[in-house]
Amino acid sequence: MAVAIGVKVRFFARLRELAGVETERLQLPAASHVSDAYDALRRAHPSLPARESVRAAVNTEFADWDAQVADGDEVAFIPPVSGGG
Amino acid sequence: MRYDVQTDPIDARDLEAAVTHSGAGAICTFTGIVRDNSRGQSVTHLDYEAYAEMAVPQMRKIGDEIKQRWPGARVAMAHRTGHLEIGEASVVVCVSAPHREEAIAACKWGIDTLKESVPIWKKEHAADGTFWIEGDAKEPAR
Repeated sequence: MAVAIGVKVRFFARLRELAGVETERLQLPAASHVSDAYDALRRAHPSLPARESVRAAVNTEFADWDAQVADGDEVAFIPPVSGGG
Repeated sequence: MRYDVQTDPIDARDLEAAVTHSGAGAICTFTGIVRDNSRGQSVTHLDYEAYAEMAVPQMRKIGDEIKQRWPGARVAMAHRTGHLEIGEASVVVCVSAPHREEAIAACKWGIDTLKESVPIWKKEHAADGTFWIEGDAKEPAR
């Protein structure tokens, strides 16, 4: 059996509403990328938008889609931000 | 330096006190206020949501870059979350510097960068419905 890693997923704002959950545990094959995590989540939550309108963060830092995720990482999916006045 | 994401009202004077010092000749404070209209529709109130564990470090990064770009600057920032009424302050960015030009330029750069890179979202409750604001777009909210 392939080695699996576990990550904690967090959704915010509209993505949280579309996914219907705030946090989720996700199992992935070792050496998976951020994009693999999001693709798996979109299969589980088909109303999540395409990657183009989403940014990812790993352990509270913005991350590229091709960044690798490691066991125990916190992976957040972030819609375009709108803080400020 | 002080960086806060908070549900309580923001006191801009507190942030100014955090950046003032004897070598500062100017303090520039930007306050963002909840407006009663948006995109031609009347707005009743807003909700702000933050990824606080990331938003505070992102604000600190902006502050650190301001200190590099404008030597001598000191920075404080705070953003509200939760339910905000019209007229309440949603965000305050406060920069002290030796002279007014640096204070004003650094404060403008700080709020502009905060709006691009700090993970905070605005949900607008307007006459035509409830929407998430995403950059320049608005999307229907649940």
